Amino acid sequence: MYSRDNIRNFSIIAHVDHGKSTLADRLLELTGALTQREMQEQILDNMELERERGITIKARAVRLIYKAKDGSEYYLNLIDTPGHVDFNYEVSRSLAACEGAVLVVDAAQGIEAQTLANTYLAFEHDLEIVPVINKIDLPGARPDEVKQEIEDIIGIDGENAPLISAKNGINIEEVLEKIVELIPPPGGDENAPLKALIFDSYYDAYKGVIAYVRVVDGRLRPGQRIKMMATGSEFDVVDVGYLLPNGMLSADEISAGEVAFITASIKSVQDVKVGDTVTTVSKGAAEALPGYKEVKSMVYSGIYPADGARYDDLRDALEKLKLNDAALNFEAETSIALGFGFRCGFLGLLHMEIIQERLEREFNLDLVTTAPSVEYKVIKTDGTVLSVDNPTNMPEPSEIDYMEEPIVRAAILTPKEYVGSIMELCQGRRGSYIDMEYLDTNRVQLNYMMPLNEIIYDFFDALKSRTRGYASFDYEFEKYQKSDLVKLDMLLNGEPVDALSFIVHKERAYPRGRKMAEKLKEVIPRQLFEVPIQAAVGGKIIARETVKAMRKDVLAKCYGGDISRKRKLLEKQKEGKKRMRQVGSVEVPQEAFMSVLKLDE
Amino acid sequence: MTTGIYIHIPFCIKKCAYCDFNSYSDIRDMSYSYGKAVRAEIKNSPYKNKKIDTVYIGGGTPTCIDEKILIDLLATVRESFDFAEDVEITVECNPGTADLEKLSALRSAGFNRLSIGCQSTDDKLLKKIGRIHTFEDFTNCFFDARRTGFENISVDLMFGLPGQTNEIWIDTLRKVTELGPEHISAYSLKIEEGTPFFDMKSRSELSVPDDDANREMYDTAVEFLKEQGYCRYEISNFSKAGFESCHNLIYWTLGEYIGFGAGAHSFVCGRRFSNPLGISDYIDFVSSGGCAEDGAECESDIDMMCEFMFLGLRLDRGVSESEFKNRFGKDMRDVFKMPLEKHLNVTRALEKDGDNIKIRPEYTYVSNLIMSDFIL
Repeated sequence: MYSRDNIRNFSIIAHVDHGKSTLADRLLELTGALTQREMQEQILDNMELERERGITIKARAVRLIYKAKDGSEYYLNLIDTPGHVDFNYEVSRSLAACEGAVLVVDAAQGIEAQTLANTYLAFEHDLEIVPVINKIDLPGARPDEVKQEIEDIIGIDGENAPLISAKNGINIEEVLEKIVELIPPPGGDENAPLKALIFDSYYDAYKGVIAYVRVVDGRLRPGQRIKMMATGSEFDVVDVGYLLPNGMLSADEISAGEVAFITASIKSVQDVKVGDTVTTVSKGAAEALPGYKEVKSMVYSGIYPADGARYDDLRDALEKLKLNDAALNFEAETSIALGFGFRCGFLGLLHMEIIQERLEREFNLDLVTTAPSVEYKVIKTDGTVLSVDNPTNMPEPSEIDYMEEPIVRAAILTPKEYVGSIMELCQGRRGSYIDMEYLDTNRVQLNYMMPLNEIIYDFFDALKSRTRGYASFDYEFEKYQKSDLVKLDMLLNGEPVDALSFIVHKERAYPRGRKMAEKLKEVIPRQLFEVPIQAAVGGKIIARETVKAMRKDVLAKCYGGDISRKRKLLEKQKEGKKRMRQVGSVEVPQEAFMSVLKLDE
Repeated sequence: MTTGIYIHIPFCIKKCAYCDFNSYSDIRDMSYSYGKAVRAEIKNSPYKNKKIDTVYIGGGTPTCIDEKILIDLLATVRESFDFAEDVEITVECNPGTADLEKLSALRSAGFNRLSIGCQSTDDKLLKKIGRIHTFEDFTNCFFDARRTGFENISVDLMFGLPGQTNEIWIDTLRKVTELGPEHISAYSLKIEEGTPFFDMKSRSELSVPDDDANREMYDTAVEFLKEQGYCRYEISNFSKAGFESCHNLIYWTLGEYIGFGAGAHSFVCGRRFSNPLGISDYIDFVSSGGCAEDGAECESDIDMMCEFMFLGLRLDRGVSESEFKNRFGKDMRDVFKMPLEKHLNVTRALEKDGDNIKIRPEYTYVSNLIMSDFIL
């Protein structure tokens, strides 16, 4: 048995692309957890999509054994965290399982929005922060300035931060030494009633749900009956043990201070909620660990199979994804324009994109997705309150007393020369300015209150293009706020198309409607007859465009026996039509339903 | 069911700038050995039991080779097959390649329909598109043909030519209809890959009227020709009453045709197949006893039904529901439920006319949008 003093539980936190996963790989390699041959690039990001995008979607954990310069062997539990704001809650739970965090900062880019957001989360959990400056071998590296930024902006000692290159394996051992030296060993009481924090879970087809936990107090053995304190569900433990890079290692017992897994023939991830506390049924803990909350969807969108016949495949795919992603919500919905599909709720835009991409790639589905929406509160004249995340369900204006929309607190970090341009952008998106802080002589943090529905379209793209990619951005939900909202309908050939409707602030309805009409005119091909495109608010037309009728589309000459060529031409045309939806008498390309996302203002 | 024979003559004096047909210039000395090979192919045809309603010799320019070859070919066909009593026998002809003597010989040999490639009456345009003749050559040819007794003459015209205006087009229509041919084909120029026009266009050296102007010319032709007594019976074909091209109707009504010669296509006994394209390849193929239908598979019912629809809808009269039922034993309304409902009831681009379903005339020139829905 090893001593609890030789355990270190830590996470790595960083802004996206600053090298978190690469550093994790090097730590694994250096501790011999894996031989070079077993090494797969970025082993912790084992979803194809994660590796491609260079992001971590799900938290994961692994135990490393490191023989430090003081001669002792240490058990380092690395808990990987998702870097993105959408997964803030998961980050927060992962951090709650640690005593320290390695903060990776890019030597060229310095501190970014997510660096700060994650660091603040780490502070909230009283973690010891071990700063590390990465990519020091790159041409633009300015390690001294970044050290200064760490001291000025974050307020911790940056002087002794290891200067490393995770990519090229420079100074990695120094990171390990710092982890051992700076991060305290876990506390906790092995003899107290069991309290284990679930920070992640994973569905395995054979073992059921595998819960990843940090044991805070007490001990646990197979055969014991456990209870999830938030959900109340009970299970018999089948197996406990440790997470190694190349698999799981069963143990007789896990105890306070350790990071471990539990299996208990659990069928649904819904029963193993991240943030919940596991205790034993007999002599269990009286109180759960603090901080559990239900994860709530922030962004909603309709997802439809491009080919209506694949509705069942889409449902199966969503169910499979849901097994490993408790944050994904969906329910069946029907659209007149798009047929049968699902209304899906996501943590944020990135989460939405990831789910859509996984559906398309891993399940080979062609999708049509509708414009994303947030959840509005509709207070009706009869006093009842309705949550509306689909414009189709918005009541008639006469039934509405008033409406509320979600507001987020947005932090934008940018070189100071872009401040004017960003302020203009935020004001254009109905943002209200809170304040501005100078992070150093050149960099500024702008704080705004912004309606979430102004962010979910193309805010991030607009921000990037206005700042040549230099600004970074983070947001968190703040409150619901009364707002003057209307439903904007798009009409094709006089018929409203439900899948194109959206809810928008009254003052933004006209420009949005006009842009939408222009965009639709671009993407809808000429048809047999002229197609009027109209934008309407409450029955009043606010914008109009026209797709002219097709004038010529004919095989003028068709004689001579070779009809196969003509046939191929028609087949090709038919193939093109598969990307179309018949909406009333109009053929609408599927991209049209998503084109609202890119209105480029 | 009607059956036609098509014989391909892949020779020209000079290729036109827009032409992507299987035809070659400068090797007309091969025409004799080519004729021999085609005669051999005809004699060896496994379909000699078929009764023949139409014969069509096309090209290329059939009249640019020795007319004796053409006459021999017709004689060979006549020897090998039974002809219907009112058989239509067409030969294509280009002005400048057929004098009175040649036309007379062809008429006497039994050709009873002449298809003359006029294309335009504007000499500047004719030159621009690479034709070897003038308008005067055409009128001479036309009068010679009448003199030798051709009472069924078709004239090919083109619109949408580079630099052509609607006025020039109307002038062409007027000049041609004044001559009073029985049949007129009016085709929009299509720039095909592998032609000089295609290369010029990709180098932006060629500009043709845009779709709006092209449509105007088409509508002009339909209207003008109707006034002159020519009915549009197919997208690009017009005739005086009773002078529709029987041969071409075979293609559009999914009739049978047997093709002889280089690159010729056949559709017979439910199978589609074609001969080698090149002249030497074709001659070798025939002399080695090759058989184009080898390996050809029977076309599926569903493919045949689609063709029945998209070819039949080219005709002004459209497709007949009872004929469909007779031929396939199924109801057209069941097989093509979706596209029929869509276009009869929603877009209303199709209309019911007695037993037939047809494209409304105003949608003829965008018929691909409709026909492509009939590909299952």
